[in-house]
Amino acid sequence: MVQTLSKSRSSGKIFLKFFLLFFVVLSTINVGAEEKRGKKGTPEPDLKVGERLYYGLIPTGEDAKACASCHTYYTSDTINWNPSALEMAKVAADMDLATFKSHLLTPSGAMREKVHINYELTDEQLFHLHGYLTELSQNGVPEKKMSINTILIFLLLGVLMAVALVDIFFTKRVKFKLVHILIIMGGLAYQGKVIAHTLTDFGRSPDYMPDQPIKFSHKVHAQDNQIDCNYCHYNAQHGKSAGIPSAGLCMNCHMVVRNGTNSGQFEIAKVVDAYENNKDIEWIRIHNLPDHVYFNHSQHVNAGQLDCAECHGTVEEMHILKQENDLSMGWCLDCHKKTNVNFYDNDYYKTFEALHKDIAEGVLDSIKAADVGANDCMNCHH
Amino acid sequence: MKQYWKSIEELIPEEEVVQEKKSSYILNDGKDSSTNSRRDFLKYFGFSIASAAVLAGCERPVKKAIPLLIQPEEVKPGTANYYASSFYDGSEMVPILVKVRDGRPIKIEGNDMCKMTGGSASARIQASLLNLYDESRPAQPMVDGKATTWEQVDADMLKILSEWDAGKEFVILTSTIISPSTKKLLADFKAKYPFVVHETFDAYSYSALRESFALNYGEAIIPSYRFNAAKLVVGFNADFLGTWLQPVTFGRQYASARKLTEGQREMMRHVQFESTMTLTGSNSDERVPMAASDEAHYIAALFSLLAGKAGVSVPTVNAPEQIQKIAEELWSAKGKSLVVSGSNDVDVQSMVCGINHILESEGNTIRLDYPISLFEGKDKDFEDLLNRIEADQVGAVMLWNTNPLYHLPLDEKTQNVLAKVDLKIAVHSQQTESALACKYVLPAPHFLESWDDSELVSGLFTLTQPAIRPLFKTRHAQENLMAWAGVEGKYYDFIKSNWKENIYNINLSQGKQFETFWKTSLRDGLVFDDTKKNSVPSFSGVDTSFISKYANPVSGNELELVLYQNVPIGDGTLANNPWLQELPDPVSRVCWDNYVAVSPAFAALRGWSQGDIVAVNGIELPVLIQPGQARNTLAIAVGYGRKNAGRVATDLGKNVYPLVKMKNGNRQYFVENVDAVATGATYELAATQSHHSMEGRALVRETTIAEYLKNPASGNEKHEEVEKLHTTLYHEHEYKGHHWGLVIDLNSCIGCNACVVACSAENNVPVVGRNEVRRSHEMHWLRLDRYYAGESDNPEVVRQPVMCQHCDNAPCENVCPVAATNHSSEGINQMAYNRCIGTRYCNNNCPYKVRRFNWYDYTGADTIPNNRVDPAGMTLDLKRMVLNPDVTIRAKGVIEKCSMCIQRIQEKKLTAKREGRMLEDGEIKTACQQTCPADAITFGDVNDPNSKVSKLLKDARQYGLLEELHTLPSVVYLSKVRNKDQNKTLS
Repeated sequence: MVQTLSKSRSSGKIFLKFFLLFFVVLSTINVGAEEKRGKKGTPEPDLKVGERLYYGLIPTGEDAKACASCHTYYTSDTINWNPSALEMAKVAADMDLATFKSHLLTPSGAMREKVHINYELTDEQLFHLHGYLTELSQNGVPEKKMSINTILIFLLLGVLMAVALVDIFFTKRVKFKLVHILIIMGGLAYQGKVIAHTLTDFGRSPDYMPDQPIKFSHKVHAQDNQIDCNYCHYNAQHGKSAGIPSAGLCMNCHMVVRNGTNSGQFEIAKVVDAYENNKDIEWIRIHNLPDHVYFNHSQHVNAGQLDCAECHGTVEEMHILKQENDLSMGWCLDCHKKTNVNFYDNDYYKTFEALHKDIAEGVLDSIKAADVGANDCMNCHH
Repeated sequence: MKQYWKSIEELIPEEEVVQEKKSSYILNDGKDSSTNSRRDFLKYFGFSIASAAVLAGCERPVKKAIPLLIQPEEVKPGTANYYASSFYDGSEMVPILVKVRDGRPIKIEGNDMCKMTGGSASARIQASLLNLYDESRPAQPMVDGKATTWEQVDADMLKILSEWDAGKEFVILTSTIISPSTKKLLADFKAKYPFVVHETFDAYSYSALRESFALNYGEAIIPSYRFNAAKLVVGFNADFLGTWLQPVTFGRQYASARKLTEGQREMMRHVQFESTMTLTGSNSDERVPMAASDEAHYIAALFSLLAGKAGVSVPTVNAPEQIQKIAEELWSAKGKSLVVSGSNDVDVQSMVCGINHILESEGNTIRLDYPISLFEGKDKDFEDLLNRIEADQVGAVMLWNTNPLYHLPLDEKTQNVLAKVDLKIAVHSQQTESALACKYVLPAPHFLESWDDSELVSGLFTLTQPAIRPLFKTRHAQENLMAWAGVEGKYYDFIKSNWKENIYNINLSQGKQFETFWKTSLRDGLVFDDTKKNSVPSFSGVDTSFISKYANPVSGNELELVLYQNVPIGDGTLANNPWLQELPDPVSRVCWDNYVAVSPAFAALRGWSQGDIVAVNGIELPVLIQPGQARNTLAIAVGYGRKNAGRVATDLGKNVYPLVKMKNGNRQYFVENVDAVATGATYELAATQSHHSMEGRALVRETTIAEYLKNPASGNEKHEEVEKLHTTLYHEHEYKGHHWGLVIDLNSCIGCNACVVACSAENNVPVVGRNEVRRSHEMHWLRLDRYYAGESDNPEVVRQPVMCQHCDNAPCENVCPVAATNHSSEGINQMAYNRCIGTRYCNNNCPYKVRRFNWYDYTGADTIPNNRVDPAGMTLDLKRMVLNPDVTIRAKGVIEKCSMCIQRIQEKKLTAKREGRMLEDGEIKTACQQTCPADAITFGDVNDPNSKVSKLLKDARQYGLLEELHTLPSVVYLSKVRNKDQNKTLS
């Protein structure tokens, strides 16, 4: 699902805009009516009012930004460093009203001071907002609305073509046969394309870019702070898996570094919490290969001396990690055909006497990975 | 050229084999989906298209990657660690290495630091890994069938022990304990509670062997046997390559004494006298069928003859002709010969002691200074215990890794005796029959979850260390005693302090402080103190007048029954193991059942044919016609018919332990005067026997040592003939780097089947179950073909391991419509499972029949539940933990076969590349090669002129299987040599 979210991001954005506009219209109509109290006795937070406050549809102060503008439901393209809506809600739900008020209106910490300074909320509004957040923390964020599915278009075209066919032979409403033919040919072409794409892309996910439980930025670590890839992914040199660093490894630095340039304390606190309280961090795996594929990092990084970027792209520029290549077999094989092996410096290749001879005789000018068997089926499929 | 035949059906013309081809395709358990009609096919076809469309519309599931919070330095994801440990199941002890991948033990190898086993292991050791993941293991402590906690158990036991009536015994009944720490703990426990008595009960008894040494040498020992120091070995019903004492060690010694590869011109000669065809007998140079009841007579005759030569006065016995001849041979091989017997009769073993003494075997082939600590149980002591129970002197019995209610003869009587004991406690790591009768069931961990130590022979100390945290709420049996005796700490602490106080010494330490010594011992798994030897007891002999009892043969027309351990199952302790149950018996090639083995002559006499059910003393089992069996002998394997063993082994076959008789206080594994009647019913045994018949071509080539010395290529003349004919239209493969090859020395192979299980474990080979084996659907990538030659009452046996031959001219590659099987640049015939569409053209075109087709989903690779055939629970999450993550799980509808352990080749190549060096010869070992006790398999680079494989390829004995087909296999065989010649033959 997460993948769809990122894939359908642009259409989702448009959708969200419409959604918000819809809300604005609704709220201007209904504001007066909603002011009424639903019940007598113990006051209950009005969740609708709370939600509108969250989205800034009810003004919260002069020049004050809506909560939702920073604490979004979903992490978007350009990373949003602020805690997400759900994370915020979980924090708020644990507070009583007074603490909530003081946290919101008289904030501490650089970022919050700057942004929250203009907030003017009444106790009643705070009550509704708190209620909304509590409810959110319990129910979680709603699933992101999907764009129109290609399957729907696929089916719609099918229906259209069927209608065209029926019209040709039976109903004959449209006189120009060319229209039918165009519809059918166009429909078939589109469906063919969809089928071909779905099949080739089946199981592949280039550009996969899911939200992670911690907003870990490779840009901050690898580019801004110049940490070598191998510091965290040290296993790439030695083993099959590059390895996701343990929280213990994070703590080598974060024992001291507790305040992030972008994210403040919030994200780093999650690592510290996991480490101190023995909680697993459930990262979402991005680079997935099917079970019948054997891939070994050390083969490529250590023996093959490839740069990480050749497969993973410019990770050091990514706040949110994205799968750069489709990791398809064709992609692997192409690279094997193009990439020279370290034929002279690595003594292992002394075994290939015949190839050394070919080079000496000028039959070959370089030795590619595929020349030493990299493209044998069972090297990866065993 | 000898006429080889592979099974009795081939020898006997078809019309004589009554109803052999019956009910092959009628299945009786209803689990099979062969009832599916064309309509179902269309339904599923439609369904799969629809589901494919739905799947295409869906996104891939989100996968999580959860790292360890704190990564230990030596644990690297995706990289295996090896931990030294040791295997002991109450019979053989072998030092092992456990391969642990991401926290899961996935393979057992022999520890190559052990000089006795040299890094080899048996089929049972390889398979014992799967018992770890047995879902039917007792998972928590129980009292009266109800779950309880360890605290409660301890409180109960402390109360019981503190209020114990000192007039009664508290018996701890164990299998033989070889652990010095456990022995010390037991002694401490006895010191704390004086009413505690320790008794030993072995599943399979060797008590006469110890007793005979007590009589002849004054010490009840079992010596170390050195088959490799012998030039002539004569065995009497001792299956020392399969089951007798230490088969791994003996197999290794035996093969090394018979090798002709490194310029050796001499090989050990082996003659076997036996009642049924055992693995050992089938390997012998000459074999004499002998009724089990006549064993004493044969040995008495041999003793008498040899004593006569040595000038010792022993009553004269009429010797059969073969015994006269072998006596001459033995006498001339004095000091370099060995006589062993598998009998559990003191008289017989006493005579064998006498024979070996006359032959001056002590110090040469029998080492009395290194007695082995296995099989300490004495049947007389156990009888005595039963009598004490009868007399109401025993208040409690703790059954610790021993299952007497299954292994004892006349189990009903024993059950009644044991029922008299008020308090019974079971401490087992597996389900047992005995636990059902116990009030307390206190589960112990599997040996891969345990700490332990051992002293197999004086000075050889090994350690057992856990390779995984306990899967269930189990506790070491030793920790029970510690808790009840108030000893602080874990059993680990106890072992360590015991080692520090009692084992660590100046010879072992080699200048190391104890902590360093402990760590290196733990790393190596074993330490050897070569100064620690036992004093050699001197031969006192016994009064030999009893020999006259055996002056004449006693076997007549009465039927007698031999109860033997077969190679896969042994005494039945590890029976609940799918790998072992699926492993065909090396002689009969039958799996998943025991049966009554009958000689062909006797079967003809009674009109029995294969599969007829006969009742032997009331036990109904199907007949298997076994060539080479003594005429009036029936043979049934023990270890089957478990009543409470878990899902796999319960009710497989029949239990014949109740038929075991006592004689002179020892359990006898043969029964005289049995009655056997056909019931009229039939049963189809699951045999891999005739499934892959290669129809009388020169597959196994053999010669005799005399011929071989004259001409090394004798018996292999065809090779030269075929070589001359090689021409080809096809373009030949060019291997620019490696060219992998495998050489199999048929002269070394003893057919123990360890390679088959090692291959299954390494390559995730599926277990298919009895019904599938009946339909020839077994999946083993490596099989051991066995052929008979000559007379059916005493045939010669040859065997041949056959796996994918990795032909350069592979017939399978040409016919694959999707190029799923093709040739690698290193000479390997590759199989890309995900490309395979299951036409089975390759299977049909393979002359070796080594390709296996996944008719169903056996391991849970498929998502459609109806595809699944899983008779042994191999698709359970727990059992799937044993799978090797480097090898793909094959789904239904694809072909698979031997890959020459490509994952191992790739791993070692990569290591070499990373280290920037050339691969060393011998660095890559295939799974079958690594475990082989006989070193019969050699893997290596044919392109490297200095590799061992290249050198073996220059041997005149080398030939390719069906080389006349010009398939150019990369697997090469070395012909078999038999140590017999015209002048030296028994018959």
